[in-house]
Amino acid sequence: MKKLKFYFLIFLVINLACEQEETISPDEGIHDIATSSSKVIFLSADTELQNSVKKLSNKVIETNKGASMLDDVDFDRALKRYDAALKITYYTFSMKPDELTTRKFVLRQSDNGNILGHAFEFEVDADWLNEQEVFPGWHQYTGWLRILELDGNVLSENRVENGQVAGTKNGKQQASRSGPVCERTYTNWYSCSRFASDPNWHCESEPYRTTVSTECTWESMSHDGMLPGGGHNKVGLESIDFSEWEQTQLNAVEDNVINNLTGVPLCVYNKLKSLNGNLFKKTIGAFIDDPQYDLTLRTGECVRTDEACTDGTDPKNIIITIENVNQSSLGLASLILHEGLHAEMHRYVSRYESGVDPNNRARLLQLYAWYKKWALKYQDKDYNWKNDAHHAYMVENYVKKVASALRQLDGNQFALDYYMSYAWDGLRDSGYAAKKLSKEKNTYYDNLRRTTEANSEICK
Amino acid sequence: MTILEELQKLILKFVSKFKLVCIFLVIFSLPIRCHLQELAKEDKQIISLIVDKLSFPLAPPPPLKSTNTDTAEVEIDSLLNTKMVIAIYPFMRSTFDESGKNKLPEAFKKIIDMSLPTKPIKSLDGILSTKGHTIILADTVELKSRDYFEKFNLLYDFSRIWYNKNRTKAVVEVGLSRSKLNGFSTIFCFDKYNDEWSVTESIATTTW
Repeated sequence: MKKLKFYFLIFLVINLACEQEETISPDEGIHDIATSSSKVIFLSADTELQNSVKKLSNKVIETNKGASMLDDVDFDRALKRYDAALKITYYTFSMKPDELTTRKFVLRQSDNGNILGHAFEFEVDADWLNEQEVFPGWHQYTGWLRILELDGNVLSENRVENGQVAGTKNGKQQASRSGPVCERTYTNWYSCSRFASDPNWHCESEPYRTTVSTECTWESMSHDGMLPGGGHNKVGLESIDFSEWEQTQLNAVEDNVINNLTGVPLCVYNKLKSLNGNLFKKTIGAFIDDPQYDLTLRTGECVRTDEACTDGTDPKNIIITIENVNQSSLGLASLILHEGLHAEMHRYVSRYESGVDPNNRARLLQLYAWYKKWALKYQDKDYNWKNDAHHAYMVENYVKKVASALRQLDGNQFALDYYMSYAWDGLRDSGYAAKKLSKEKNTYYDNLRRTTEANSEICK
Repeated sequence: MTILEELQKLILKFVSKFKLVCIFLVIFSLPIRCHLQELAKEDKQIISLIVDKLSFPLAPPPPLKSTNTDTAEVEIDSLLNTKMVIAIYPFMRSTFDESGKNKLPEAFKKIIDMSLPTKPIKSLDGILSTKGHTIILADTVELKSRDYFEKFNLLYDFSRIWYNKNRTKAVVEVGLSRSKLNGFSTIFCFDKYNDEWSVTESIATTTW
């Protein structure tokens, strides 16, 4: 629809609220996540979302803009929210992140059928981040917030310091007022009950669940009918919320991961889960992406090794077994993450082969093809080449991430190098020459490992 | 008199009455028991066959962002001609992957008897690599150390090998590790044709 050009002025709003706790008064009764206005939906199970994505794709083809941006969007699942006042449905999707940038793709569909897609890009200031022990929350966010069109064109580029808009870089857009970029809200949910004999609500003193939602709001103008009433000069407030995505994902982990771990491995797993770091979310947490894929974690015996193993022969019911429990918590955490990576790769490839997942991990699929060819041509048809493909992919993508997750688990007690030896476990022979771990580095990391082994007390 | 003492008395009475029978039972059951724990000729053949079948150095992946689909011939030759040090776990345990077992053809499934004892591998006599790999027995104590894997390239962990009555069919589960956290296991079904074993079915089980 070339005629319909959108002229956006996108502003960040305002009202930074510090992390706040909302206590549900007894009068409000029993509250549950189901009552939240946002919910996670799956592309495969939602025809409305399928139609919206199709419509947006057609629009991209029609205007010949935005193909590269859409390639990075994981359309498989979305956080859906309907704004009754504006009559707009918001779908928020994950996009491929990199080390310092978090991106979310927002698809908006108005009740009259208009559809728009934009990427929200948060590029955190590296120096600021290095000064923080942990991410302090969106109310203190320092970095850039960009809003991009489908073809990557920047509509708005705002410098944000300590949660406040500090100015714009490209001058095309300008914030209307200074204020917070996004607001993060913690909500405690209490279980309450009421009896016929007593009309008052009685609530538990401890919340049974805490949800986190981050809402970023902007002012939208000249919307081509996106806002009620239409017209190019219409101004209205719109918003996305995305942290709830992660929270909902974490909650859903409980439903799809069967946890039969015991003892210290259970303690380590629970700590990894409560930290809910990126790597945990992308490995074990990824199993909630599709309710058809189950993951079982258990403590027990691996038949042909004494460490840990993953049974991925039925990708819809993957089993991770942790056998060697007589080791440090960091060692156990690296085992769980390593096997979690195996499990997640089995899951991804299975989904890809069944036509559900987009090809957004071309390298993994290339490694599958490469090692299969090797086995059939030069080795043996019965050689399990998948394992070599997994480990090569781990070397290229996950060594630092595993080390970083372990460091976080250890309360950032030591520098990253102290955790690298754990992350290289199982991968020392893998990878192409430039990525391989040298003997000198290996010795260096092993020496540092002795220090962490002696000083880390995560679970006893 | 306790029940235990009464039982002891009864046993002694039986032994003194049937001395000859008892001696006969002890003498003849020992070799049977020992035989169950000794490596048979077929065990050695199958172990040798698997070692040659699966022992390869790890192939390098294609460079990042490359579209190459083939490695240079020179590199392939050097990889395929690499002589490796192969360690074998010295016990063939009577354990088996349950989910893999369910996928086996009935003829093989029924010959697995997990009640049979673990077979120790006391010597490597008769276990050979025709590809020139060096085979050693792994030290179970040293295996607990992370550094021990630097002393060899591959570690094999064979289950006990089960045979049918005629010894024309065999099943074994094999674990192959490049390091403590890099390996896989596979179940192999063998059939014997013209006095030679060949793999008729393989089922991948776990990775690590």
